[in-house]
Amino acid sequence: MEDLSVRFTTADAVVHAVNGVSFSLDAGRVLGVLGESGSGKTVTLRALIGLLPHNSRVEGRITVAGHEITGMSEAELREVRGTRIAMIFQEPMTALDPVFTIGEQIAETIRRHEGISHTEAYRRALELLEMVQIPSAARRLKSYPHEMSGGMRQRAMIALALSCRPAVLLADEPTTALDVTVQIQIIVLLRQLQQELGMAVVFVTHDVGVAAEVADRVAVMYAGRFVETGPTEKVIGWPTHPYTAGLLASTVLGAARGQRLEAIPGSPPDMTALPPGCTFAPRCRFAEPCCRKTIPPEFAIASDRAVRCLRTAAGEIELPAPSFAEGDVRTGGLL
Amino acid sequence: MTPLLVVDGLTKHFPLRSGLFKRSSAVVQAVDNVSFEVNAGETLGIVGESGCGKSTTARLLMHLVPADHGTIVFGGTPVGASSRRVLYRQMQMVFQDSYASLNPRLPVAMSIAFGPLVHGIAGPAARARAMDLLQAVGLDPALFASRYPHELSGGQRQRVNVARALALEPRLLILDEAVSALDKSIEAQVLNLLIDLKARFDLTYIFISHDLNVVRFISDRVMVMYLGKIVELGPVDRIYRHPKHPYTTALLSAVPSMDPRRRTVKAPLSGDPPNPINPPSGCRFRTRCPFAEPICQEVSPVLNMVEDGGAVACHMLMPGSGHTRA
Repeated sequence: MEDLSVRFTTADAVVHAVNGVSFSLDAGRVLGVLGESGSGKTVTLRALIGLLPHNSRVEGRITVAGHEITGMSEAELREVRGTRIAMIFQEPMTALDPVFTIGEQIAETIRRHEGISHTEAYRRALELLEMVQIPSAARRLKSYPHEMSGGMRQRAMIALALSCRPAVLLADEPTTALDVTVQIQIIVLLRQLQQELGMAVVFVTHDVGVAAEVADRVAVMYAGRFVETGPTEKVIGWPTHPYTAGLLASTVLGAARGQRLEAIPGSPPDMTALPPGCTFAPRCRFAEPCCRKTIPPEFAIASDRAVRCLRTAAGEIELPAPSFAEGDVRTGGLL
Repeated sequence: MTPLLVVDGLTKHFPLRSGLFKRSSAVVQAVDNVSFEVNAGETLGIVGESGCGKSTTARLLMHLVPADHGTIVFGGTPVGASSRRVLYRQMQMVFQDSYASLNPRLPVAMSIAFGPLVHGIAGPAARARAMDLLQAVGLDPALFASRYPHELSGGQRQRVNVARALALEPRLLILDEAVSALDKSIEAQVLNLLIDLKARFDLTYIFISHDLNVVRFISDRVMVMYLGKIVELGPVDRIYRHPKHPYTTALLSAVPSMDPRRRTVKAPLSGDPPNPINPPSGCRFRTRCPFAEPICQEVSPVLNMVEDGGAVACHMLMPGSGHTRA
């Protein structure tokens, strides 16, 4: 993805949802995009698969497995979707079709793309349900989405997304609506499938813990830009952008019980009227006049890390490293 | 010290009706024989997965749904449905959906003043209280008093809801997933606010959340629920450091690690929580418990005091229960 920007035009205003996002992702790697609501993470993901509404204007270049997505016609997009790139969503109940069984939906998708026989498609559908570890898969092929539990539906949606062996999987908060014991099952499953199939995965989440569980690299997104990118353990263990540091300090892990948290003041900017310069400057305790004048470019601070902060790049600020080890609630108890 | 709130044997079963004559076909055992106490000045956290009955418990305490059985004693006085008007001056609730819990057609200051007005406080005094409370929750009254809920952000609306809940000067606040819908940076601001208000107004909190990290941060004691029953109850450090019930252990190990080098290799539990309609006999966790034995199917374990604080409902921790690990 090169310099993606997405604007939505509504009756009253222009929403600057994504403002210059570039990244590249190799096969077999997982990029976690971490951000709060309205930061543009879902829009970035939808742009990758050409799923943006008609009132959007997309600039930049997106190339997936050798295919340039930007500028593709709807018919061309339909060919690429599923076979090269597929997506899973937060709410499987709305992503799956309520009037067809799981088996019909998966088999239909495979037949549509590969033109194989009905029987063969059903056999593949069964394999897929077994691959995502749905118990009594043969029986579940005949189930409708509403007959399944939340975790099972999410597994079915993963099976559907993987049915035509995509090279890239896009995951839009697929575990957010799930209970914590089910969330970890889906995370472990996704990681295992990603490694077995050698897929590249872009995983969008608002949860630092989920990103730490799945991602090789993370990109922290704020107001439509990647403000910091780097290997997961480095970004989480040693943040270099004040927003990342603030976000990590806002999570209660490692905080002394009942003591005030180091919260980021204020709220995210209005995406129809972004402040000039660094969009985080109005909330940043390190902001200087220079921050409000120019949009900080991406500074490479190590061979594998980049940050959009003038003051970090100039070596002027020291950010606190969070200490999570103390707060890790996982225990070595009974299990 | 007498506890501020004593709940004994609270039970709520919702019958599911179907068929021509709406006969009761099944029963959702949402809350089943739940007993606990809340001491003045503490924060009791309630955790559990969806369908475990934590929100129903909150609604039963507030008499928003009538209980089938059980008694609620607040400040030494038994409270029934008839005396709930008195109760509301002592106990208030903040809900998850900040928008749905405010009247969209009232300026927020009016929403805050509404309770005091209904409870017989004169207009100007109620209005003055609303202004003070807006200030207390960190919203400048000059800017926010006349705004409508849709003009506020989620974090600001939740601050208004906290102010509204405080308008009758209650002693106990039930926070039902009150910060769950907020972004992390805003959640931290609201948690800070709750900590400040608790000290300032001498409040007691019942803090309900599915977020185990937040509950650990804010609570003094924690109650773990599973399918309508309490499985474990105790001081927060004991529960988080030395969980005793297999469900508590599993729940805590399911929390994502913050350290990519210590990733979860195997999910601690398989499958989804069973349906609260016709839950398993005996111990309700037995269908997902790695230590289940025949006794767990036959006898429902009761909450039993444990040495280092709190109580656990598990046959393994009850000597003579018939479980081989007991």
